[in-house]
Amino acid sequence: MGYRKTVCGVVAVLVSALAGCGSTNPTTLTIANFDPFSGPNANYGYTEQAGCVPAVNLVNAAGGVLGRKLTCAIVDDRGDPADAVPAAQKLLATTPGLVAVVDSNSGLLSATTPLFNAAHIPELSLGGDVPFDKNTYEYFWRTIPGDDVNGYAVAAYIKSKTSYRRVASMFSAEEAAQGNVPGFTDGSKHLGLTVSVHQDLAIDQPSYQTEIHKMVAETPQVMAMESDAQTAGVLYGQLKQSGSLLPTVLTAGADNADFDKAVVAAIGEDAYKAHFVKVLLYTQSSGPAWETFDKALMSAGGAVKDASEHEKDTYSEAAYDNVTMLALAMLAAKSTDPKVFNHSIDAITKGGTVVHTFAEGKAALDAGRSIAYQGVTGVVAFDKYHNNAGTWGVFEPLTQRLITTLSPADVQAAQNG
Amino acid sequence: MSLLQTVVVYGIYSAALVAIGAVGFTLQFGITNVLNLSYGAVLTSAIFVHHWVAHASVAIGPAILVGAVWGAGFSWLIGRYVVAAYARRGTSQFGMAMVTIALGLVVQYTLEGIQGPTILSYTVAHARQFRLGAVVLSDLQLVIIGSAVVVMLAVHVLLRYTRIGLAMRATADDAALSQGCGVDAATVRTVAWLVSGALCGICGVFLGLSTGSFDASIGGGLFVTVVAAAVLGGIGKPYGAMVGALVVGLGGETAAALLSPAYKDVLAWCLLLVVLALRPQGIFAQYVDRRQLVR
Repeated sequence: MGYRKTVCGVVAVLVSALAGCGSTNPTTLTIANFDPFSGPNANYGYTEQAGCVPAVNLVNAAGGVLGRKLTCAIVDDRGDPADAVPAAQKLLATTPGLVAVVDSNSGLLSATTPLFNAAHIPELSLGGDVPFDKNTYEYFWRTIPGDDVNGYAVAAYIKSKTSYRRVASMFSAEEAAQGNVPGFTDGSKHLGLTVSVHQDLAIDQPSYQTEIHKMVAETPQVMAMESDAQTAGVLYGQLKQSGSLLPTVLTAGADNADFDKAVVAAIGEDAYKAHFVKVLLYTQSSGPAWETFDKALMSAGGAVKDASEHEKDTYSEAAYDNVTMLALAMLAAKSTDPKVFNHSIDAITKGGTVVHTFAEGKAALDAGRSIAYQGVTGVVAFDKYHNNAGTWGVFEPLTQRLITTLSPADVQAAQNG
Repeated sequence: MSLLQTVVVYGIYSAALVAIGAVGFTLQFGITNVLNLSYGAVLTSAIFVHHWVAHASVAIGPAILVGAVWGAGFSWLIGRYVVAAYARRGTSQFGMAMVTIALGLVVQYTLEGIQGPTILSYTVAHARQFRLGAVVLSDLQLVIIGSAVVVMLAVHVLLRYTRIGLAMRATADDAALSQGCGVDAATVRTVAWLVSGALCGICGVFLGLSTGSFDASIGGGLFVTVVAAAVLGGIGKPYGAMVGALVVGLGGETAAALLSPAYKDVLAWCLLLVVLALRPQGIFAQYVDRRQLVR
């Protein structure tokens, strides 16, 4: 009997000790930075960390969330589904105090988002997977536009900022350029633009005159375009030759020095600047929100790798905003329970008081006001699929001078009609 | 009607560019039986050399001269010091093709190193323009078409009316027999590499000038089309290469007009498959034979 009691006592102590190992640390809440930190896309993780760490530091410096500190936990998903799924399962099973996941896993969302969603863990993502444009996962939120949204943004620009209504769709027949076509075509249709001609250009041809002839015959007023540099050089040289140079709206794939050089060689710098604009994802990288982010980033020390490289990195800025929004959502919900504060993630973007930092948001919430967080990346406006169309800028080529901006609402109108 | 004019005129223009390269490629193969897969890299190197020599100027006359001289010289060096050396060691035709692939990659990657991080461009110049019905052609495009015609005639005269041309045709038909009849194989081989290289260089500078901007991979796409035209016409047959280029050029423009521009190259290769299914030797060749390296 005495022996039995001893054994039972030892077992009870061991069980309670093991249970203690798995218990949540009451003072720390974990936000998992679920990204590749090894392999060919290892930079994704470090880019995200350059946003997560400054945000967490600022939250903690302001007293934390409901008396608890935040931390960024690095979780290496190695950038492929075969590694990411077990990494997600392990994360969910073994991480005490896990309240949210931030990631930038283009290509992995279909594999990992169902796991986080089933575990009721909010996921604030920068992944560009197009199928998630219309996802219905309750705990998934995307604050960077999907990879196809540039096409919608071009249509939105033409509709809202110009008087052109007949458009030509001229994208090279490569995967990257073709990624814009569904969005541009769909967006044009939603906005009442007429795509008078659509041509997929074979790249690096010595002549595009037949294509030009067909395009001109349909009398478009403006052209949407993306291609490699050499194709653009030949196309625009021959457009100029035939006297058919049109105003052109370029996408992000054409935003590179080679493209600029080829078109300048073909038509000259003045004509390039006069006839072309580029529609690109826009972050201000200035102003009070950015200055707060930048100061926190540059003082993050060894927790951030190559901090100075991320000062104007859209993805680091967006990751910073995501973590700040999570913390504000917890404050707004007065709860660190993911099932509770998940519902406040949308609410803190559309309240009455505009705030640019966690400290401002906390002060406003403490004062009983509803907030609209507008961080480094500007306005966040989630649609019914928990996607944010992002703020887009329209830029002059070569100088990169900002001509105008497109709000998320402009782009969402193109997406949803 | 105007679309038809555009298809025909720009089909001929595309064909002209391809034909210059295809005739050079097939002429050299016809004489030496070496499948020179470094041809595209030589073509690209001519653009780089001209861009450097001419300080990015687009003057056409000097461009033709630089392209021809560089192409001929480089090609001769390949034939004289690379191909000949491997041939002496008994390298097979397949092995020789691999040697020329390797050489082409060496040249291309060297050019990439020279090029640096961005593409190279020619200086913008105002091109004179000429209207042919509904079609507008630049002076460069007219020169390319005209040069192709001149090159075709020159090759015809060379092969048909000169002693060296007779020797080249004899070597192409039966190398062993022609050597037995006193044809100097070394001279024939040298002339073949020189002429082929000159045409390759001219084709290269025309390509560079017509695109305006280029990088070290520019020759790769055109080289594939050049080979298609040469095979279509009957490999080793200069006249066949001219016809093959026309078929490829007009076929590509027709595809752009009737189907989608994305199918320009697809149609060219479909034509190649159809022709080779019907005539395995190509349009102009009389029969398929087993060829040996000309040593």
